[in-house]
Amino acid sequence: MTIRKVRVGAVLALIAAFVVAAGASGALAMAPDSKRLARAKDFIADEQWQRAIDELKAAAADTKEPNRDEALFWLAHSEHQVRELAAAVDTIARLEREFPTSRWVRPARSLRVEIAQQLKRDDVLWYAAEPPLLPPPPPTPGVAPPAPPSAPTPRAPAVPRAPRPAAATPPPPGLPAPVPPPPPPPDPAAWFPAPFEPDTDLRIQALGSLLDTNPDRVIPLLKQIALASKDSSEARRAVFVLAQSDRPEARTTVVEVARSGPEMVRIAAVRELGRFGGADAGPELMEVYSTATPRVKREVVSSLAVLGNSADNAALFRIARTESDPQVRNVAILTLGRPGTKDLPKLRALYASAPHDSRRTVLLALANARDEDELIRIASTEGDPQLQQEARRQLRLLATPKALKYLEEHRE
Amino acid sequence: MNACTLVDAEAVELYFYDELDAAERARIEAHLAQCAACRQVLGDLRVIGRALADRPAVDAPPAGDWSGFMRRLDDACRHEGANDATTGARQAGGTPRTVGRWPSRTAVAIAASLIVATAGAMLTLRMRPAPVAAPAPTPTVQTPPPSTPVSSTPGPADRRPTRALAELSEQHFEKSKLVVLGLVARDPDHTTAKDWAYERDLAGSLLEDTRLYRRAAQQRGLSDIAHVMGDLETVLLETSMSDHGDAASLERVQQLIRKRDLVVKMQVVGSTGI
Repeated sequence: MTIRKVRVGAVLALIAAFVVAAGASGALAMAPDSKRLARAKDFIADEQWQRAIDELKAAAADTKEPNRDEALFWLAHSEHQVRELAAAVDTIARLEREFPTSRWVRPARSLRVEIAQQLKRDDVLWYAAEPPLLPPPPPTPGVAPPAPPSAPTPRAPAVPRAPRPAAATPPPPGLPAPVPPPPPPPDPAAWFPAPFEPDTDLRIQALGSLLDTNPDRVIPLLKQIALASKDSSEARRAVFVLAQSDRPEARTTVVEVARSGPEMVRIAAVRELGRFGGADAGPELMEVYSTATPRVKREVVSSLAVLGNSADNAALFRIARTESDPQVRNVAILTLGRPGTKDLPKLRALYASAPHDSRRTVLLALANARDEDELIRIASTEGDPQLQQEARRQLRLLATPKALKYLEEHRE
Repeated sequence: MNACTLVDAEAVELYFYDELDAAERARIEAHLAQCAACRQVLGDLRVIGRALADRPAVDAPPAGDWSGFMRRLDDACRHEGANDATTGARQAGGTPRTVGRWPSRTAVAIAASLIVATAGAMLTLRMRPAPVAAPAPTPTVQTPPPSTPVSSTPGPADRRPTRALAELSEQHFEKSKLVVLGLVARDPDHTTAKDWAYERDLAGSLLEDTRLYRRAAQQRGLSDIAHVMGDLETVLLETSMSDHGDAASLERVQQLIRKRDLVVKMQVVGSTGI
């Protein structure tokens, strides 16, 4: 009996310890908001930042507050809104220190990267993108730094600091002068807990902020993420950041990824080339096409259609005539059928030369191009009853006076 | 799409909205006299303008505050829900049945869509087609302006990527409406945590892209898009983190959406690409 009591007591004690520990770390699901936190969120919704800060500070100081980790995040968010950047950095560090496993740490770290970007702290951004492998030096005492790292980490050489960018240009006349930033926290290591291991999205965010000032180092890192990440969403985001850059080497990298990456990443790279590659991206897209899988080819076709100049239309016609994969071929044919297209004669010629399994698609393209004359001609002369029916169906959908008159005069 | 390569379609739009200075106006007039494509663009704008002018005037609430309207809508829906319950009770011989959640939701969803469509059309018409780099007109900035200077208006050479980003943002807003409209249409009193698990999951999956597009919009000077992306980011974060999914959490997210006018903003900014 006594042993049983001891066992039960031990189990209960273990459960209690787990609950306390998990609650402190924020690992368990969150409790419903306290009244104070609910009030603070109302102020945030109203963008009454100072009132939100007052409530959140009280919540963060209250040990009975069930969601202190969330309160700390929204406190940092609100401090950021009122440009109390040093205070926001301090609050994020406190969140990491007191609730290291909380789900709110992740968005808080993203906020910290944003603050570093606003302060033009490339050294901090580099720390977030490529944390040093050796223990960072202890922080020098300064204005509002977070607590120093508590334990050294066995890692290798620190990433050299990036050069600081030039000072910001003054605002144009008529715009309010920017609020001067507070004195920046000192050494970048003081911004981060130790050990610090950023997730890939945080790295992408930091690298995106460094791309303009440090392209030579940033582009290969983004390329590495694009090619090596197991998460296709992360890879896609790395490609997006590269495609945003006006630098030729960034564009070359997007083309390389489009040629040699995993299929989903190739598709993303082709899409970004079409969107952001400029009017002269056609030849690069065709270069990708030459070694592409059918799925990538379909994306190339869609991107060529987005570019929409005459050379790209010529490429699309070439694909429509020569592509062996029927799905790719049909996508190309469909994209050529646009209202007001100047290539109507070529589209009409395509009907005669297209393989049988693509002729129905040519009919759809002709209807999209509103070519009632050609549809009437095909409906009158086509020997294949299915294709003839399709031509008549498209004429019914078009419902132009001429099409309706034809259908009326040639009832089945 | 304007087929003319000499004058950008925006110039014709600005001419239509009487936003050009005298010299530029004279230049466009001279061009219009000899360019059929631009005359067509102008003609289309006039047709649209006339069509919309014939519609009854629907003003947005002062300062864009839709909360009163939404409150009345909620009250009406609750009233309808209560009626449903009463009817159900009567039908079941006095035993109240579960309130008809789907009819109520559908009504709210339709109403929300109508609000979006009407307000979007009216606001779009009223909005001046501002240059893409114009500063945000409201002081309710989600994030401070980026530290890199972005105030210069993109020139013709780099306008295409800016437009591409605006189009991408529009697509992203459309995708995000699955979350935002789904949340707005729910009745907190009759929604369990499981009911809005889809919106919470989707919110989490859209969060990183939203952040990325906000940064890209800031860097390209698309301050209006960046501003709405910022509001969307806050809503998605709050939604994705509401893992207990209680009624109070849902109400809070709904309140956030209403107070930030997110539905209307997504519609207007998404459709105009400003």
